[in-house]
Amino acid sequence: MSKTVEGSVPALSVHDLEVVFSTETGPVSAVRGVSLVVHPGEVLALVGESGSGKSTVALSVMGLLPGNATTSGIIKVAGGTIAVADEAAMCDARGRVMGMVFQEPSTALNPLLTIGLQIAEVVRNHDKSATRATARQKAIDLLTAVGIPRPEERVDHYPSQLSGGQRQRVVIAIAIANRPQLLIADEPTTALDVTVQANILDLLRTLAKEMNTAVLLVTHNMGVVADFAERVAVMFRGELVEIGAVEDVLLRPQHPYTQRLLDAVPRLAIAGSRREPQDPPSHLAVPVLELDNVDVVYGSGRRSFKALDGVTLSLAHGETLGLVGESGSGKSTAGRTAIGLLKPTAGAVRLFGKDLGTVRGRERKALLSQLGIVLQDPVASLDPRMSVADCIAEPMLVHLKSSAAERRKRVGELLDAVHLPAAVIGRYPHELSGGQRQRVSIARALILEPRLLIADEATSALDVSVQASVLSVLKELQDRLGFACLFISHDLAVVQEMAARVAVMRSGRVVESGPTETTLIAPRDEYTRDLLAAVPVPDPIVQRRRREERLAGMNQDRSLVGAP
Amino acid sequence: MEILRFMVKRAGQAVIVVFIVTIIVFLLLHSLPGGPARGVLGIQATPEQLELFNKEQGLDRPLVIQYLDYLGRLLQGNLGESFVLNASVSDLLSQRVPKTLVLSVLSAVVALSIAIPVGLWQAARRNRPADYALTALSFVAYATPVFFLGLVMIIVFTQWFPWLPSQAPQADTVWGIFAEPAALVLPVVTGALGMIAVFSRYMRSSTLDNLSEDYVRTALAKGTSRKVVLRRHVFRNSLTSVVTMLGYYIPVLFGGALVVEQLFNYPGMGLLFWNAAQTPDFPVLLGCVLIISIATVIGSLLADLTQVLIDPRVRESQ
Repeated sequence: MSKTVEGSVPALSVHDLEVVFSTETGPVSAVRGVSLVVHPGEVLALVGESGSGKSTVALSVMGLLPGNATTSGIIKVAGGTIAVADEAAMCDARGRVMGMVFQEPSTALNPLLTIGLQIAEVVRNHDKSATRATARQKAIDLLTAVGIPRPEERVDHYPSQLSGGQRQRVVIAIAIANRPQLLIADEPTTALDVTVQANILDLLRTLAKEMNTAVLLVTHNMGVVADFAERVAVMFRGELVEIGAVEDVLLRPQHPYTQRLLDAVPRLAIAGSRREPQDPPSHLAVPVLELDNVDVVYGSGRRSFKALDGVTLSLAHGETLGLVGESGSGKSTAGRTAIGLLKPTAGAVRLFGKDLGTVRGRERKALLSQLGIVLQDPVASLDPRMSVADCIAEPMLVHLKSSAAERRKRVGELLDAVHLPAAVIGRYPHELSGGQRQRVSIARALILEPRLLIADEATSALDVSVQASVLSVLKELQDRLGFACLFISHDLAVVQEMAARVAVMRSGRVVESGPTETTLIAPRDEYTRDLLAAVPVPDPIVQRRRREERLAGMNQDRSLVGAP
Repeated sequence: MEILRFMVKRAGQAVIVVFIVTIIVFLLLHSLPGGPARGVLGIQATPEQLELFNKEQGLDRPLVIQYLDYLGRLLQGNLGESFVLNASVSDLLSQRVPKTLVLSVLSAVVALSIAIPVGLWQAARRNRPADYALTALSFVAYATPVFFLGLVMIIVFTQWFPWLPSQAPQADTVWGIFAEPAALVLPVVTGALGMIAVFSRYMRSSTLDNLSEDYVRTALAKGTSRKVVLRRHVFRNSLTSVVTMLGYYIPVLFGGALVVEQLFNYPGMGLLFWNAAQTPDFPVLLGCVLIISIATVIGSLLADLTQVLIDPRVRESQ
């Protein structure tokens, strides 16, 4: 697959890289003996879970590690050795022979300077003859190259006036401004919606090919790897465990860790793949949750914003409904409205058959005691000053008269149910791992044996292997306890795995809903189709075909629009 | 246009705030035990004399009537007559306020032109000996009361090393004050020291916050040197929060002026306020508080406005 000529100078070569961080608790070895080579025009993906050291490798190449890092080994970019100690040489190399695209486009740009000035900076850093005017013209050309519409106007805009995807395009424009030999992309699409992600990946691919730039892609997303990379290097606890062509590593992994990692990746079932049918939910009893033509409007007057627009949802006893959509689609707002945190501007919310808008006082409290909620960020949703036992027992304190002994017994049962060792009971949230914390959240949500569980992006912040175990705990408990679940997520593959029915949201509306097998396999709505087509699947061969189909579809749309 | 609408809105809010402040101060003053009569007429005064004074000044009427009366005259621009000094409050204020303004503005300018570079410099050298030394120094300056600091300055610079006069300029006009620059040094420096400590700490932490921002890494990845990143990117971003702080600092600045003017016998509003509080001279106290509350409100208005001018994100949300 690799089209490189043997003997040519590699764009990047890393030999025996070691990185040690000195911390208060002693030295931590983050990267151990990593060696890799990326040739001009080639895309190498560096994958691994959080803490595997993949970003550390990327930052060492740029010489941007924090001050407490010590590195050894040899890094060469386009034949020149990277010597962090030589600040002047580093400044000369950064932005000229190597550029970098970062994860979070919302914070990667200086909020107080126009994007034109920020692009011009990298141009003038390396071309002393460039005047303000020529650098500005170059910035406009670069904005055109990265596909920003109306670049002459946009060049004077501030980052806050651009969408997330456009900001990432600006960051890319900065990275490629001086046609670097090496482009480092550290989780370049992780913070973006899937449809935006697909466009950004297309842009990176086109630019890299055009300039024959080597790309070091750091990512945890196997779909992105399958879509973009030619070779893959897998990192685990600071070591490189496997490296090879993308087809080999993703389809025929050799190392046990790679195999485990790939097993844990939730796979999007697509048309043609087989799937066991699930039991249709019973619609005999009163629905657990009903949203009836609900509107939610934020603000008032000219600045008002309709977050939910005539949303109707219904959730039967014991059923799991997946609520999917991109950021800003209103899926979290729907979840918050369902549990009474937001009051609908119009329409009704019925919880267990009772209208949340009319019940008050003790009756309302009793209703709310029958639901549990698990939020995205386990760090932010657990009180750092409460022990695990106190965190889990809190709903009991609020809703039930119970003795300390009863609470202790119940907490013990739940820790067992979420497969946490009893020893964590006296610990504090910061002493637990991300997956353990999210299990504590689940235990807390389930302590009152709720009839409805709301999971809002419950596994989005977790590594895939941890996500897999948390999802299996959730499924097992649902089978045992029979609660209904509103499963809110942007990840279509996870929703396919968890939910029997699904509702797709866009701009505050439900555009399509129905059984998961039909809605997410053969969608009727065009937006759902686009959404599904944009999800990269972790199989390079299938993904190449999907990408070509998607691009062909887009070109067709464009030619239709262009027709008189 | 947007900025104009924003200013009109904020100015409206400011009027309401000042109005509420007058109510609170009026109530507080009148709840003082003893009242002004005893202070003005002295301990020898008979109950009849006190009663007569209260009747003449209208102090025997119900509080609500007194307040409405005061407000009515205020709206006509009449701040009343001092009980003690043979002058109208407006005359006293128009004489004294510019002097306090000169002292406060000079102190603030001196303080900021030292504190901001020092804070920036400390942040760039975080946790190195120079940073620790300056931190220790600023804590000392921060923890020392202004009056004590002033006394130390007087002893050191007028007694041990008799380089500077201990009395501030006594001129009647603002220009007259500048005729004696040497006499201004000690009051201005005393007023500035505490502010240097506060604002250098503030600038240091604001800069440190910004140094860990992602956009700094992006700038470094462009090949911009650390020095230029600090100057071009971090400096302005760090300044935005310092500017907000400055607006809220105005009452503190006045509190400092109160002590500094007393120490160096500087005939500004602080000294006027101090003397009026001894009596208590209600109309003068009310007049001063009015000026301070207006200054505070204008200060935070200016801070917001500056923020709007330097930060495009605030501009959009308005």
